[in-house]
Amino acid sequence: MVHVPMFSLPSGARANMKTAIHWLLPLILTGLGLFLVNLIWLYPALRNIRESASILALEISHRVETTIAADLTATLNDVQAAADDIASEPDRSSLILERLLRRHASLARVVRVERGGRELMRVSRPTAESMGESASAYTARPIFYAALQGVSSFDDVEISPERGPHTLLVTPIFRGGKAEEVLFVDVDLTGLTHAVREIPDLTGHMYIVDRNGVQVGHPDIAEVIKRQNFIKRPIVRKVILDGIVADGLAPEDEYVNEQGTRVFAVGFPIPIAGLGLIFEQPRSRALAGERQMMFFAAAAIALGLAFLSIILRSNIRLTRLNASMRELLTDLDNAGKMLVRRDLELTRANVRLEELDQIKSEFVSIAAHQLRTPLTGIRWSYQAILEEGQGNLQPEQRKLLESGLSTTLRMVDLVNDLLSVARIEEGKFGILLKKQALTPLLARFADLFSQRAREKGVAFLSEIARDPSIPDVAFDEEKLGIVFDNLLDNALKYTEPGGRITLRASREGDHVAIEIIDTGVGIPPGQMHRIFTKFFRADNALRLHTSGTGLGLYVVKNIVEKHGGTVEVESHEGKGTTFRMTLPVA
Amino acid sequence: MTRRISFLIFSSVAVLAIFAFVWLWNRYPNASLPEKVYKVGILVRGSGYEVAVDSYKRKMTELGYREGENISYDIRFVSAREELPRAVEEFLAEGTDLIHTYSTPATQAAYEITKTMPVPTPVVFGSVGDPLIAGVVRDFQHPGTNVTGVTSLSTELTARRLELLYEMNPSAKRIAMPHTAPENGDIAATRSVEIAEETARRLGMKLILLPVRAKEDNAAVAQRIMRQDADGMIVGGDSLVWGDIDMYIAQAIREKIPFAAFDLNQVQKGALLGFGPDIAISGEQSAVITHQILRGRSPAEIPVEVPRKLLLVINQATARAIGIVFPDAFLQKADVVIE
Repeated sequence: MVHVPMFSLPSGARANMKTAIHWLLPLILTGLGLFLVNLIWLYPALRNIRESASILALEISHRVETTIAADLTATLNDVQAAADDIASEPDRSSLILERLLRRHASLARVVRVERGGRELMRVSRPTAESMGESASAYTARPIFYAALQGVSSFDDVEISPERGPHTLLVTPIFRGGKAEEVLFVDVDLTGLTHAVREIPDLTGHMYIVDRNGVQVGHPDIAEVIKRQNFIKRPIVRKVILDGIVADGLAPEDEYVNEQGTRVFAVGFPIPIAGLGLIFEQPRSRALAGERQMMFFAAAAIALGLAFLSIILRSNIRLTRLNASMRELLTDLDNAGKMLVRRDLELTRANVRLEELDQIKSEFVSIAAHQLRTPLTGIRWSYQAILEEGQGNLQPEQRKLLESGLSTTLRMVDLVNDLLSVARIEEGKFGILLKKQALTPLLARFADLFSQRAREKGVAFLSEIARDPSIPDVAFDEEKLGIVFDNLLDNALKYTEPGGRITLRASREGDHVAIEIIDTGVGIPPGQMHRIFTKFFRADNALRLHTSGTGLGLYVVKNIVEKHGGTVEVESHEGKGTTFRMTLPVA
Repeated sequence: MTRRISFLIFSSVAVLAIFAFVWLWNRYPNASLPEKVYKVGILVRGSGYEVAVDSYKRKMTELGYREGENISYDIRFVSAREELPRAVEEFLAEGTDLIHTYSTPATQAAYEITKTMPVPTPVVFGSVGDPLIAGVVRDFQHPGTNVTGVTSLSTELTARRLELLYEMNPSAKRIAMPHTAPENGDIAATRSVEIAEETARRLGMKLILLPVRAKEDNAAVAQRIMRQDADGMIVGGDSLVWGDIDMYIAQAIREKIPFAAFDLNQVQKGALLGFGPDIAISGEQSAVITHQILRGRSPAEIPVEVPRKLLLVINQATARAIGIVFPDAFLQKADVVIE
């Protein structure tokens, strides 16, 4: 069975998604958390702003509502009082009604109607229009029958372009405990317009609606004439139908008005006339503080998110850094352990090498000493035989003896070289420096090797400076002799007949420079770096089958450096070699 | 370490967020709690109230009560008076929140049963001739009981109906008035007779009273109303007579007697004219009162309302059939003219 993953991404995409989740998810979730946490202060703050706006608006509205209600109540009370007066003194009805009209400028006329609907008396202001109504005009009105039931009430508000808003107030006139007559009072409601105009200089306005939701009061009378019905507004229904105060805190107290402006509104019922007072203000002005709070909260959340992003980013960076550091430390640790192991191994190897070296040096020293004596004896024997048996030796015998002597001398040189090396390594190769002229030593070796060179057919030039002459140098004559001997011997050894050897010595500042220049076989460039090591002989030297221990230049370098000088070599294979050494002027 | 810090930060904020949410939830509980489903029982006795019931339901929908979602109606049309109490008890057994009634007997039945409850179920009437006389309220302004609503003025308007007959034909003197016999205890019917008598005296008319004791009497009583005896006919606020109004209408047309009935429905059936409330508007008024009660107001404090609109309805077809020509002035006053 092959398992096919339902959803798979390339590894790169998976890594990116993982990074994104690692980054974004905590950011989003914490952002949400920050938002909720901020609600702790934001929600109450917003509510407080709303409540403050509500309190202010309610205060203003309540003053106006109280004024209107008081006005209407006073009117109703006076009308009822007039009805009671008429009931007691029907003959003075006219006077009573005239007095009523004088007291209330808003009353246009009063009509006294008997139970059957017949008009008994009418008192009007001179400016009032004639109603010209018959009995049916009164009996057709439901409010007439309400009055016959003993109820005083305001009728629905009527609006005409000529008069504006007006209504009828009816009250019963009781006789014998029964409502026998009804007073119809024509009430001018343009006073409502004045009432809603008188608010402090705030944005927004008040308006009044009747029990059907029709606007009957507005600062602009032209708006009243339009007879707009606002019953669909929840706040109007709350005030008119439910008869409760709308404090602006409920969501339904906000609405978009006919101008398309979102408003914050409060409302008061005016139960006496079935009216409602609404005070609306543009929401942006009434609750201006909300926007500032929201902005502040948004800034706080943004700052929190920014701060969190910085922390997260730093954390991620540190995490990566830590991981890299850990890897590095692990590697270092491993490398360290490996180094420690290697160091231990090397130390052990060094100790063994030192031991071996010590053993070797001791062996060489002992062997050289043990060999030197018999070899010296053999050399003397050969020399004695050769010197004393001059006339008695056959040519072949002489030849054999000379060959033996030559071999012995080579062995003596080898032993001497080995002894020198042994002493150098043991630190017993003492140098006794003495300030003296170098020229005599140089001359002596020049003489010696010029002779030998001549015998080989090699030209020898000696260029020892005289003017100025070579200054005194502090040197060990025996040891420096070994140096010149080795260098000149090598030059002669590796220069073919017809070549040339030059010994040059001169002063260079506070040093004396000595050069031994030959036109010999030269040194292969790949082996130049080993020229001063022990037992080294170049390949071309080995091909020449020349004698040599490979220790001479090691001894030369050691002796020159112990004199405080330097030795260098410059060579071109097939063309020759130049050894240059310097010694400090004493 | 870094991962631990991130976890700590996130955990702290998450805990704070949960705390904030819980604190806010408790401090500022959501105002919009799950809506209650209201049950309204509608009890109708008599005919012609279908328009009112429809109008009532329509207005309730307008006010936010959606049938099947947050309100349910149980509508009962009952003709026999003795069945009214059982219907009320069935409403109450179903857990009805409010009873809406049409006619004085239906309202009285609902009041009599609910007034004894520890928390009386509110009753809103859409048509009661005179709730004071019916004894279901103590005062129009402050009912003082668990009953309020919209009066039909059927009792008071009896006078007006008589006046309309007089206006139409001042020479009409003898007016027949079928009515529930006083011993039946229909107070509205009895009061209607009183008002009719007062008005007739005032107008110089003579009232011919025809008592009806039971529903089956209507046919016989109707048959007795003849042209030779009556110049016109009226009815008062009388549910027993209204229940068989068709018989009286038919008789009036047969005998060519002008019949002043109560409402649009009766005139549509053939009465010559009618003066009464626009019961569709009364239904709406009842709905508003129902809304106020369901929102928490006490019926005892909600004033009884008179119908907001009274209609003068005339039937020209009937006028032609009985040889009547309405005066122009009369025609101008009519709110509805049925051709």
